[in-house]
Amino acid sequence: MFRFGPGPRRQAGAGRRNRIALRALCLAVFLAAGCGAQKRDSRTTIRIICALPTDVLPTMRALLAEFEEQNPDIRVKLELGVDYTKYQIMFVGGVPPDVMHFSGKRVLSFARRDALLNLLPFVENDKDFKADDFYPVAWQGAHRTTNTLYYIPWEGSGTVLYYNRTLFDAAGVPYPRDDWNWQDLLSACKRLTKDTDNDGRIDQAGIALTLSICNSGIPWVWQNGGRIFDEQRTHCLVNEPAAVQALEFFMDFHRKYRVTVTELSGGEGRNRNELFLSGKVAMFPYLAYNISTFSKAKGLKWDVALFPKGPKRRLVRYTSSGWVIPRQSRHKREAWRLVRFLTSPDSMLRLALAGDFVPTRMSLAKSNEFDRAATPWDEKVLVRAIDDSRPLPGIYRFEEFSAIWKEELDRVVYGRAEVQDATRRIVRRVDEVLAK
Amino acid sequence: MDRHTTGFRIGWYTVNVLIGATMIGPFLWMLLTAVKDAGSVFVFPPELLPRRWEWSNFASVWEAVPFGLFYLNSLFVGIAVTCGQVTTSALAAYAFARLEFPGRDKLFFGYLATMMIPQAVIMIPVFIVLRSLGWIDTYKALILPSIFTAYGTFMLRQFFMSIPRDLEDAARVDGCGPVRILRNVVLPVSKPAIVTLAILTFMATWRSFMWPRIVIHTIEKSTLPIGLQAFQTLHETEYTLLMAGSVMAVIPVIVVFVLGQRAFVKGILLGAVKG
Amino acid sequence: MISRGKRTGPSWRRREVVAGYAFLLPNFLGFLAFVSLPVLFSLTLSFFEWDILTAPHFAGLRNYGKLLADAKFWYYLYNTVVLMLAIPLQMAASLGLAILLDKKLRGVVFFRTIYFLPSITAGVAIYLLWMWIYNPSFGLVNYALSWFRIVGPRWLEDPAWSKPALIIMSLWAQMGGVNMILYLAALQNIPPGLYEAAAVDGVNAWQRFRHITLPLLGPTTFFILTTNLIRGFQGGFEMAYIMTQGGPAGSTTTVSYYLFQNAFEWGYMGYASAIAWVLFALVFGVTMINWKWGGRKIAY
Repeated sequence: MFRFGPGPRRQAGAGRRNRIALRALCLAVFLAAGCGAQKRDSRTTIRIICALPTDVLPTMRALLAEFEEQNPDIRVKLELGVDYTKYQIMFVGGVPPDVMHFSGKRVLSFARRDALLNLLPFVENDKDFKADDFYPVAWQGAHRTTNTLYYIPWEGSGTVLYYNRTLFDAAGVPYPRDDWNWQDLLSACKRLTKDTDNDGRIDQAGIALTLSICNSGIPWVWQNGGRIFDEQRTHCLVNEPAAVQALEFFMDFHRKYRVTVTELSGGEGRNRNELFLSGKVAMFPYLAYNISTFSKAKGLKWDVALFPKGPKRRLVRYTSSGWVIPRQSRHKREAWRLVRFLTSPDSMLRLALAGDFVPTRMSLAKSNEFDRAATPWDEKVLVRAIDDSRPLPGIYRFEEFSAIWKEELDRVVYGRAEVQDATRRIVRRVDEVLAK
Repeated sequence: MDRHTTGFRIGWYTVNVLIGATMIGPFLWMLLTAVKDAGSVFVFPPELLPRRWEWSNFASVWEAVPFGLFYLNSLFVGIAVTCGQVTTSALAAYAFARLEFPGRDKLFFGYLATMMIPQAVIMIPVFIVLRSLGWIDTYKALILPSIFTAYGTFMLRQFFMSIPRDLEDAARVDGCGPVRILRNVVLPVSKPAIVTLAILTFMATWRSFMWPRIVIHTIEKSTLPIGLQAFQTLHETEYTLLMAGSVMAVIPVIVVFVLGQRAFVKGILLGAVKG
Repeated sequence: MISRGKRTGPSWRRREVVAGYAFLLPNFLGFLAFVSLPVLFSLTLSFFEWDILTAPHFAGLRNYGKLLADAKFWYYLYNTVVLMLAIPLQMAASLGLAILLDKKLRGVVFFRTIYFLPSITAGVAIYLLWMWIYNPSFGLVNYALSWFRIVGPRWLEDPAWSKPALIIMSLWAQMGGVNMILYLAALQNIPPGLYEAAAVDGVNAWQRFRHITLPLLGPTTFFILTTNLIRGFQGGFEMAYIMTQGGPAGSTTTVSYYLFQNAFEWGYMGYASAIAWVLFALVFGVTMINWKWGGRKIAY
């Protein structure tokens, strides 16, 4: 078993040499990696992180290259992938990027925690910025006040109704019109929900609704004249009759009439795009973000229409995305120069056209460059949708609010609770959260 | 000796083939989905074979995220942690096993006690400290905290204690000091245990997710698990691409394992039997 | 180059002590910095409220009080325990596979390698794969069920089925893994003479299993159970993060995921530390119970 004499010595020698060599290698690589990051570059490097579809990336990179040309003292590193958990961790970890791509509804919670830089001084001192060119609703969604502005939106849209022309034609249903209301929507859904192979399960659904996400449900409440919060944002009012009524009607698309994609064994939220693309669902309410995806689908005949109005009025959700600068950024001025560049009319238009987004500058959205005749869908609808839109209520703890909403309404979707109970519980839990 | 009847053999092989198919099936499905084109996976019933063999999915994944870099990072961190663990644990384990010094047993008991402490308890303070040092998003932050776990020390100590003392006593008579005894006598004999510790540490580091997720924020320093997860964020429902990425993450591991599996299994047995 | 040290005596003693501390030092320093001090820090932190970006507030026992009253925490603890039900299932499956492979037939090594594959590749890639397999509309599982004319549930999107789905997945992933190898080794350590003697006495196969095999596997079972219990309480984070984000309706949130959310998503570092300590208490308690109970069972 054990060998005496030269045996162990030699093995030990070889083994030891190997281990030392390995350790030396590790150390060398370690040091190299640790120090290697510092390149001898006199330019200031700023990091920008954003989420853009693959076909917008070339435009973005081109813009960044132009920016570097115009600003030879700055170098920009682009990173992809917006993930709010990662953002949180970055803030907590003290090393966020210098420019971050944010969705409007997330801004407030980060701003209240003092994580974002107030951009208002920059905007006000910049004569060429033309803040009035932006849609008021965009600034509303940015929570702009008299002394604070944490976020510059560059694209934003209101919910529209995508619809599949082929399925409408096949069912003999006339296309959605501007004067549609909830009943029109429902009856169209009923006629467009089919069991094509007679196996007892629906194969084609009328509409793709995500039932328990608050983004979807809130506009229905508005359209019925209901409110989500009171003026001071200290109480949740979702259990008022108008709101409950709206939510009941909304839920009935699934519970009573069974015309939503939930019947297609899945599709709750995640697979809606794929279902629409494969012709399994006739209508799909969503923002402008799907224009690009759908326009690439060969053989799909579709268009957009205004979302139907509710009993009291037409009001859809407005969502935007844009740029923020973290307070922990070490290159604030350079970061602002980049933000300014990206939200200038020229850059904004190029990005919007590349990704089929709706720019936040009114002059651009209403221009001829944006309203292209060649596209099969109607840009004017996108622009008009903004006129009757409103951003989601801005509260500090938006994530917790939407988690509570989802949990309670999930129970309704799965038949375990009634809307009345769910809203009562939402109000109770959300009031607790708001009181913190 | 042929103790089994033919009937038994047939039965045995059948059962094993069935179970084996269940084990491999999902991997095959992963591979098949990875070579399909995006539109054709959302059909019911699912199609087995691709309509069009979309090998370009792998190229797309490679372009979208720096996969090679993820591998390099995981390798680098894995090797560094393993070297660190093995060295410091071997030294400490020998001290606890063979050397007499005041407070030895109490200290060792302290080590043992921490083995049961969940990673979660330690994670938050270490994070806070690293943050104040400015070490978040560096390799140091990934490597250093993982080197010092009581498990390695414990395992090697048990092993060292099970070696007969004759060899060491002989070396002592020859006039060797503790360092030389450890280096030239104990370690060569302990190769199996050390290899086991190295393998287990490397594997654990390779697949660790939570700590890198918290500490690494830029894609250049991402290890494989969080790189793959970042890729998931970019292409949430594009399962063809997600599966292509998964294939790329899994195949090398399988290859390495199949090639080295004898040594691997021996290592595990040793680790468990002695520990 | 033999040094003239004496074999025993005070100078050797001194060298030993010096060497002892010197050998221990690197490990000990690191241990202090990255284990012991953080443990104390964490305990202290649990009595404060802190979100890192602003100043900490002293909170006394308030975090613990909130925790005991936090219905969500107890629900997530319930989730954690339910997910741990996979452990006995896995152990039984591993034992079964080990018994299956404990034969001297050709192909044993081949099958052993195949069975080990899922556990060696465990991680993000496997979670993505099973997300796809469990897809309610287009996934393999519901497709297979449709052969038997069963309409499969929505698996990861249904609160009632999400945990069973995860349990099945972890069964697949772990049953041919390390535990199987451990059982194999233990089985091979049982002297065949015992079985032969029993067979001569007329004991049938099932009784042989119950009265010879199982007891002799006691130590291995105990080891596997203990390590899995400790890991089980802390687990479920990666699964939840990648596959379900803790949903639907919080049905796959485990204690460790809740802890992560509190610390790194919502910034409640103090509360998260309190959760961590309660978790430790649970792990400690269960391990102690297992030790006492297991200890008695092994000593026969």
